Amino acid sequence: MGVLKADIDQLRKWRENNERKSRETLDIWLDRLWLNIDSLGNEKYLILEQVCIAALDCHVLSVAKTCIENLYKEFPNSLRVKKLEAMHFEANEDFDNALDILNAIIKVDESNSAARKRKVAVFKAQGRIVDAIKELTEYLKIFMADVDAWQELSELYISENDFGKAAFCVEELILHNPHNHLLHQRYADIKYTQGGVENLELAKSYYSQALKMNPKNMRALYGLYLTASSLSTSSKSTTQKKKEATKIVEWSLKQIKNKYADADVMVSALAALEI
Amino acid sequence: MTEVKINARAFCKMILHAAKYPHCAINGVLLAKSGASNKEIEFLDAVPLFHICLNLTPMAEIALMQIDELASSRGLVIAGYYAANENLRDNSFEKASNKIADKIASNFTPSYIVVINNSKLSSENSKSVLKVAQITEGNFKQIEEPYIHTNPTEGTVRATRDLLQNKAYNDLVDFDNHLDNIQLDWMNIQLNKDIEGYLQEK
Repeated sequence: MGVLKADIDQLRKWRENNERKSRETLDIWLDRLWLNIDSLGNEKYLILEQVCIAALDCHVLSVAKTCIENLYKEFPNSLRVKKLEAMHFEANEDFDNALDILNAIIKVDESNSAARKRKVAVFKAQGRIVDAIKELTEYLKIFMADVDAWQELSELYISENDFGKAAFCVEELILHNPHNHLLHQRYADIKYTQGGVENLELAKSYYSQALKMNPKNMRALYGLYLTASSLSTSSKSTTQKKKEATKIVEWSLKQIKNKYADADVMVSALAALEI
Repeated sequence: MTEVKINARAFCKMILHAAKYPHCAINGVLLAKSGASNKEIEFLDAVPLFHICLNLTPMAEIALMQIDELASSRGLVIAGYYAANENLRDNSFEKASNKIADKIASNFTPSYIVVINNSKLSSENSKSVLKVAQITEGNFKQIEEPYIHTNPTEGTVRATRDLLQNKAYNDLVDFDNHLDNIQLDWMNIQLNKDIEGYLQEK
């Protein structure tokens, strides 16, 4: 019983922290839990759902099927279980059936956000990125406070090299979450990729802000270094701006070196940064 | 047609990188001896780069600068780009190729692009899991399978299988991991030794 409790606790921790850990979850299930399915206590159905998704992730469809059957026995009319069934079709690449189920769920329950988001996933799996973007923008018109959805949309736009719109999504994210340094850094990454003096200036500010919030953010530090070095050599910058940028280059290079010295790693490759 | 040889070290690291992040697109670069001939190329090592947001360029620039520096000090040159797409069914060169591949092509000709064929990725990987193309003036000229070799032929397949079974992908470090924690080594010196160990086993 002791081992079982440790496993249940571990699964609960992953569930609550939203950790993916699919392989590990499935291993715990296959090694020990599935033999004790009836002694899982009141978390039985939560665990079944969790294992089902992990199994789909690892493409072990038989386990997922078993979980869904067990859940249906207890909740024959549950939309939540229906969604799992749709995901099972998805994993089988039977996208038509998956979409039918998802559409049926949305018809019964218009506010079912999970099913709507699954539809985006189906389009993505089919490689229909444009449709996925369209579906997700429709979704965001209704559920505009869904941060994860904005994040996903920005990544879809980045994959399509539509950086202007991706930047807009990250702006939304920053409004929702102004103290997250990763968002500031991501915004700067996008602006740097777009290029041009104006965007580089923006990138410089956002990298600086990210660093101010979290001095340990290496991406922001490297980003600041890169942005400042291209600003310092750009023919379109004024002499004043160039001087300022050169100072930032020196500062950030020193910071980068200190970071590596603190981490006690010698990286000869860093010599590449000295110009 | 050019003969493409892929060293076990490069082969294993590409496969392990794809296995570590099955839900993400991944990419990296391939190193070869500088001054190679046009008829034959041998990839001696692979450097795994990213699994987060492949299309953004700043960190890629940093990585390429550092890799170039380290490679040239060892007589190597960045000669190829490898990638696995996020979508299982999408194994096209066009989708995988991005600015990094263009950059490599402008520095080294002929350069190569390797796409990991997601649907063939399994515990028994042979060379057919890789699609290789030569990049000439922005076009992809696919190298047919008989011209692709792993070195050593048998040992590489076996070593990859053993590495996957032992979950060695958890030990692989890509540049994204390095940026999260700079103590992690993207040259994967320890993993290289492990791969060597598996190759010795009979």
